[in-house]
Amino acid sequence: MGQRTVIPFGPQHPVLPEPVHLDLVLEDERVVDAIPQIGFIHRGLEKLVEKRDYQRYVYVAERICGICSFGHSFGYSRAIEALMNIEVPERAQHLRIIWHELSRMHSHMLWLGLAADAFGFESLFMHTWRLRERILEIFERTAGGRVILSVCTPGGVFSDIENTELRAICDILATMRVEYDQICATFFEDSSVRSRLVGVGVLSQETAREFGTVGPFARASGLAIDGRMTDTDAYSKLVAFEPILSNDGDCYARCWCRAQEVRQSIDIINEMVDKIPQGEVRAEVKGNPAEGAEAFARMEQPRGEAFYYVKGNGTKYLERFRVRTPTAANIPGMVAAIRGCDLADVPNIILTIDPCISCTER
Amino acid sequence: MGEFKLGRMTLKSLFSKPATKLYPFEEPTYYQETKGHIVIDVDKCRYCGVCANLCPTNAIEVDRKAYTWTIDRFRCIQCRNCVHVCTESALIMANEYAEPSTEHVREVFEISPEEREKREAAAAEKAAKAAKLKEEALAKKKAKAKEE
Amino acid sequence: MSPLEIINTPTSELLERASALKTYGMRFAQCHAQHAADNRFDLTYSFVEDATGRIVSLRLNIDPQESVPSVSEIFPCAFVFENEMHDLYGVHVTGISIDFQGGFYHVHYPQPMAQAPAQPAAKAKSAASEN
Repeated sequence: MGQRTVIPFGPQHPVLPEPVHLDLVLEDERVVDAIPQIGFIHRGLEKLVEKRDYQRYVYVAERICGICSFGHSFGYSRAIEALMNIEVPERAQHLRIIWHELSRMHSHMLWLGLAADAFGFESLFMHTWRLRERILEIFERTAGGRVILSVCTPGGVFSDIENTELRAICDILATMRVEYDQICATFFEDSSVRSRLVGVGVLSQETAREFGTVGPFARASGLAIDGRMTDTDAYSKLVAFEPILSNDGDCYARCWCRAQEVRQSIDIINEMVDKIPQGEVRAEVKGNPAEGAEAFARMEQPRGEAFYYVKGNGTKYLERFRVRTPTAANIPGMVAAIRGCDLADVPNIILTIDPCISCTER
Repeated sequence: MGEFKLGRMTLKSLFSKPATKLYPFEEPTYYQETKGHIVIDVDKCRYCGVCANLCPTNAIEVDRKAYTWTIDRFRCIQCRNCVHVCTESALIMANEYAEPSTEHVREVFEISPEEREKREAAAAEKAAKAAKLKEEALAKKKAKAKEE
Repeated sequence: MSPLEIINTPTSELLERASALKTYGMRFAQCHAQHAADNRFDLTYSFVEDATGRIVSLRLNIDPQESVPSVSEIFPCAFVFENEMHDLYGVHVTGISIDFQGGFYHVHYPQPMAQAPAQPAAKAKSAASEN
């Protein structure tokens, strides 16, 4: 029987993008248990809904997180549209998906860079972020901001993208794809990367289902959970959508799933650009949500399923806004994956969850 | 060499210019949509205060009597909400980023003298008309009371 | 969007219905608290059916002092949200699998979301009800 020690991990750690605290219970070098703790960057954004009316709150919602910023404004807008029965024009739906898939690509590339940096593979980190810059340039050209776009609103979007611009975006993505394939080949076929990731932090399908995990974390363990499969908005216009699954459930599988999702996003964007109709991009939103009206919305963000709930009370302020972000659902799964691994693997496992704690705490 | 897969990319970056820009010595690339800072055409402004009421960060102050429009550059988050709600299209989002500063920047825009004269004249005329109508109504009321 | 399915549930039946939903195959999405009429709380437990995107919610209407049993025995991932409900609203949840007893969220003063709504919302609401 080894000796048990408790080691604190975080909230400040070079490998963590955001502060999360874990108390790791170790027996020699093996982690026996992990106790998570969050709350270091709680900003009370859900209470702010009492001070900003429902149309202005979208600017707060998109600042819940810097990486999944567009996803939050998209999800919030969808929830309000479900609450007030607003019909969004088709062109706006397509544009939103294009921006959302670009957001997914930039998030996964950011994550790939961080994962490479965690191993010490710094040149891959730099190349991935250099590639990601092209997506941020696309954001700035079309919406005005690199990270916070301020372009989605209940009822549609504020700015339009010309069809010529859309074609140019597709061309940029085609050139990016070549370089991205090189980067992925480097990452996934490297023997040192494989030895550190394969077989580490295995989460079986049963455990993943039991712990309610979502997103690429769950898909790498074989669960076919993807909000885009059952979407009733423009995602349903895709010819075929198959979530990317893997049966291994280890860190390597999670990394691989995310890398493949970037390629899938490029295909989705190409398809959306081909199918985009002409028309308006915004529907007028007048009046206030009805008293007692409630609505749910689900959104497949880069890290998993985000769950939105809004309730109106007859005034221009919402009664309650609730966002349950994917990392909040993945924390129990992360704890389960950490149990039984070596101490040196803990940073890798945490990074392959792709934690976004600022979303979790709002 | 089988393991040196990033070879092509590494060689390319050895011989090409860096991907970063030496800001502020080099000018940043501004696009048409870039969110820089808010600019007002102050003579078009109606001083209705809608932009100030709906600003998410309360960065704008409108003084109707003094015909001034003030923006706190440090509070502005460049969300373009004021641009969208302005009924006179007096506000535009300029592309250049706001200048960094060591002092708290609150810019006050005051209406031009010609426009101020015009508006004050119009306001005076309106007040005179209203006073006249009120007098007439009062006189009518008196006459009616006298008749009864 | 799937139609709204909110089932009002008395506190005593919460665990039974949650088990039934688990047997049906639903995944626990989240639970949250909010203010309800007469100074009571409304707790909403949401479940998702992944194959169809259907969302089913159980709604409890409780007094702030009332105790609610934890569903973390049935759904282990619920402990995150039940601790949050306790820290932000002061809801008493008994039997959470990992109970931080108020230490999950580091907040400046206890039960911040249980405070009265901010001025503009309350004013607007009273103005709207008077008209």
